Amino acid sequence: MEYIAIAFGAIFVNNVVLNQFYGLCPFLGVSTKKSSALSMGMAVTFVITLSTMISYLIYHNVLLKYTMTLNTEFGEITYNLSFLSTIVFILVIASFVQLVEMFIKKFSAPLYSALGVYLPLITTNCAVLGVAIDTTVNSERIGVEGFWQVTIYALGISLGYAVVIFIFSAIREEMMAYPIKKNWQGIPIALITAFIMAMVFYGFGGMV
Amino acid sequence: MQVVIILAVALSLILAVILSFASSVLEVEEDPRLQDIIDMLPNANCGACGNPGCKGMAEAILREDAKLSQCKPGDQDMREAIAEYLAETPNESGEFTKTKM
Repeated sequence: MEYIAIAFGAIFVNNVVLNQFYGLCPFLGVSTKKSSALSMGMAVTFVITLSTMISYLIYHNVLLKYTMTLNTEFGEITYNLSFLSTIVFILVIASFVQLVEMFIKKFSAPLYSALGVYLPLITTNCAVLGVAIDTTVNSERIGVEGFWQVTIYALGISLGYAVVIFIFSAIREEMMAYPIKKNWQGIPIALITAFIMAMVFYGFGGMV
Repeated sequence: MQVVIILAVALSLILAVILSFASSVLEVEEDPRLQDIIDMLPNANCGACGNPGCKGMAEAILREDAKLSQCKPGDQDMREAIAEYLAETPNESGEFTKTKM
């Protein structure tokens, strides 16, 4: 039951795009076509889930276990290695993105050109690093503990990203059929749409 | 301090082995001329030609989709070098690519 609550909260209540405002760049950039939005959502789901699992294992089994000692004028100070978390997480994320990029280039060349520059940019998608840091360094704020809860949380967050980017692309495809004033076309009307969607998702806050 | 160095080396070695293994399994055949044209372009990745980076420009040249003068940082020598190279080198099925100045 608690896993369902975590997943529901991660997908709808604390939605990564509409509530935490992470990852807005690919959210606006790859949402003009439903098919490419869906594949972007799947690629991000893969990267977020696996990189969060591996980041969690590295953080708890390596970074918190080992210590280093510095001799300073105030005496010896012992640190653990958690100050390295950002660079280690980025390394893991970048490797996973490279892996996904090779995989998509091999098995779907049209998808590779449709995603374009946004595929390698998953590396700098703040949603990925944000979830990895939230579930390790800031895990008290999120309220998840233990490997499986973190995995479910990461899966929920990334599914929330996929759901929202798919709905958003469907709305943007529908909007093509309507006359929109020239100065509102493109990104401005998309931002208004995202704002209305954020208000709708805010309503889920009352459910948990 | 040593712990940090050991950790960084070990982690990057593991990830590098995984990636190099994956790149040999998931290798994609590319036009062999692509890399040569990328080497001849200025590699400023400025995007002034309208393509995503110099690799995109090289692909557009091979598709006969771009004029060489679209490359703003490139000079006359670069344009002549690429035109000469493409006039001499056919692709794997023996067809020549036309260049537009």
